[in-house]
Amino acid sequence: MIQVENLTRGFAHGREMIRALDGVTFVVEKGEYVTVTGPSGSGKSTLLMSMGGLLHPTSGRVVFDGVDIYRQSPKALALFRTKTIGFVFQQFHLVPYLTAWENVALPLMLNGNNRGKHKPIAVGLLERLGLGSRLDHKPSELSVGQQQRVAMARTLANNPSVILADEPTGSLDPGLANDLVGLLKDLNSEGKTIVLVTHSRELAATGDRCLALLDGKVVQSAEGALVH
Amino acid sequence: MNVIKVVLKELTERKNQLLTSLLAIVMGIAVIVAIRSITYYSEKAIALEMDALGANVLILPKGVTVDDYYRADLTDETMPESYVDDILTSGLKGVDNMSPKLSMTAQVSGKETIVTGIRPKQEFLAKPVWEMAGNIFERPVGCAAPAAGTTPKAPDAVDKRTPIDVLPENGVLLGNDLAARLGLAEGTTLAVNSELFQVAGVLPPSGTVDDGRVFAHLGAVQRMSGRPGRINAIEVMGCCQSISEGLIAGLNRRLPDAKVVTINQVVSAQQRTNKMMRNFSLVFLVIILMVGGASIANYMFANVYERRREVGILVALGAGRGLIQKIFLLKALILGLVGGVFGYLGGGALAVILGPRLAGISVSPRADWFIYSVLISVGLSLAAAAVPVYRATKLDPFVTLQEV
Ligand SMILES: Nc1ncnc2c1ncn2[C@@H]1O[C@H](COP(=O)(O)OP(=O)(O)OP(=O)(O)O)[C@@H](O)[C@H]1O
Ligand SMILES: [Mg+2]
Repeated sequence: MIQVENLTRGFAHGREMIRALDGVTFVVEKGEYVTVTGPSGSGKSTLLMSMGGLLHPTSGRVVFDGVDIYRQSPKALALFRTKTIGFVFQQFHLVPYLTAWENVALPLMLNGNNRGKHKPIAVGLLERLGLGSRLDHKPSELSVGQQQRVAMARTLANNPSVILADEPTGSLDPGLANDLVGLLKDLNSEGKTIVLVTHSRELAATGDRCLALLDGKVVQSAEGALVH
Repeated sequence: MNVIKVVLKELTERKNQLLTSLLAIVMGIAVIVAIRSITYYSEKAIALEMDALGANVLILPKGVTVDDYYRADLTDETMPESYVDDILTSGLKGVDNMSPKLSMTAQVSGKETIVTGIRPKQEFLAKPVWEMAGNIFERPVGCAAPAAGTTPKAPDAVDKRTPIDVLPENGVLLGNDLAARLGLAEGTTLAVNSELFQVAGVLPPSGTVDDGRVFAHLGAVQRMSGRPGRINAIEVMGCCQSISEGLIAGLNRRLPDAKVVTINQVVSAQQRTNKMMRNFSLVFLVIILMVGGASIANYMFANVYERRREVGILVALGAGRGLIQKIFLLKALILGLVGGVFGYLGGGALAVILGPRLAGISVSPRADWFIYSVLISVGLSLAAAAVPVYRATKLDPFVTLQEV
């Protein structure tokens, strides 16, 4: 269970203070599939990164299974990201000089897995996502859809219980976007908690619950599709 | 997968960038290694020379400077060969032996080499180490006491040797290194410029400039270089006693147009030159530290900036500050290692190539400087990387990951 409590994050911009998040409170239950929407600049990415332990809030708390994640040591917070969280980005953020399987092996390396197991695990994941024949390709040698699948395989490498996806379909055509949503649904039905940030109304409707942000505040929380 | 592999993959992704960043440090270390190697061997050669010839006197044309001992008999300035007879008839006491010589550079088997014309018998008498060539040479025992540092030869050992008085007219003797380099042995033929000569013998290694030279008859060199009756230098073997008793002054009086110096004087001039080179290489070291360090720091700053997104990814995947630090420090360490190794290799090669040309000695790279090269290079690049690495650990993954 993730509890977001009165979360505020400001960014200094010159003398001005921008409140990217302004007192956000909500709960994501274990195994839930929550979508987050809102106009550009409403604070969606800020919220997602804060939930994943990548961005310290100005005030408020993020509590995961009873632990205030930002109250931990930097080491423990890093370990939380390694073991529990899987990020998915719109830009994939693959490492350009590593091959597909090496990209997938990165989280395994960070998790301190036995080195001999890296390749078999990475290959297994890529095969599951239909990329068994692209193991040694670099990101630049892959199509956009293939890159997104490599990124997904990397996200899943340490079998995280929470997946935080920021606009993951933003660079994909509708067919590929549907495939990805299908994959997220599958992962959700396997028990993973999913938080999906999206601009798309249809995608927002795929979740168990939808959260709408505006100017850093939660303006609506509804079961199923939002009524705009 | 491990961190080293990731770092190596990143480094080899942009080889040209990597190589240019290393250029300054590689060249700097190469130059230092080269200077140090050459002066080291030059000093060793001087020490040997001192042992062998410490008591001797060198007569040179007036205009020759003696700052560079190895070049002292290699100038265009000459003096008449008749000086030898002048000294002989002067009645000066203490002159044991005189060996006049004339040197020229010539193409020997297509390679530029110094050819020194000698009067064989006199030259042998002047070169104690040559007698080790076995049956060819003998040395007089008696007045010419061995110089300090060499063990006196037992007289009966000397007696067994049969002297060769005559080097055949078309014969040459080869310095040990040169013979090895050209692959020539006794009895083979070689071309000096366009003239053919017979190798009459290979001299034993002496550790001095002689090892890289060809020795021919004085007359032959005079003819080939178009300087009949002229010589560059006379080596006079004097009795140690006589030198202090005014041999030098006597020679000076006799030959007002020549410069008379003791080997000791010449050698100390060369030692001053070497010392200057050593100091120069220290100055160089400081410049390298600055230029090489700046170049590496520049590369590291650019690299951290270029890889900021990857830093964000690694942090998102669970890397801590320590790992980010480790990755960039490892990068700097590898740069330092590569710089040190290639600098050492380049400098060693430079010394081997330039040693014979600049100082007339053969140089072999010294292994212990390998360690210094690598230590200096690694230390420098780690120091240069300190600030960029600190910056890398301060990158905000939220910011770098939001950039498109
Ligand atoms: N590093 C920063 N410095 C200053 N302001 C920032 C910074 N990052 C984000 N902001 C501001 O915070 C606000 C929220 O940004 P955020 O990226 O969370 O929006 P978003 O909802 O994800 O928008 P989009 O849909 O365009 O991705 C924006 O107004 C943005 O200008
Ligand atoms: Mg965003």
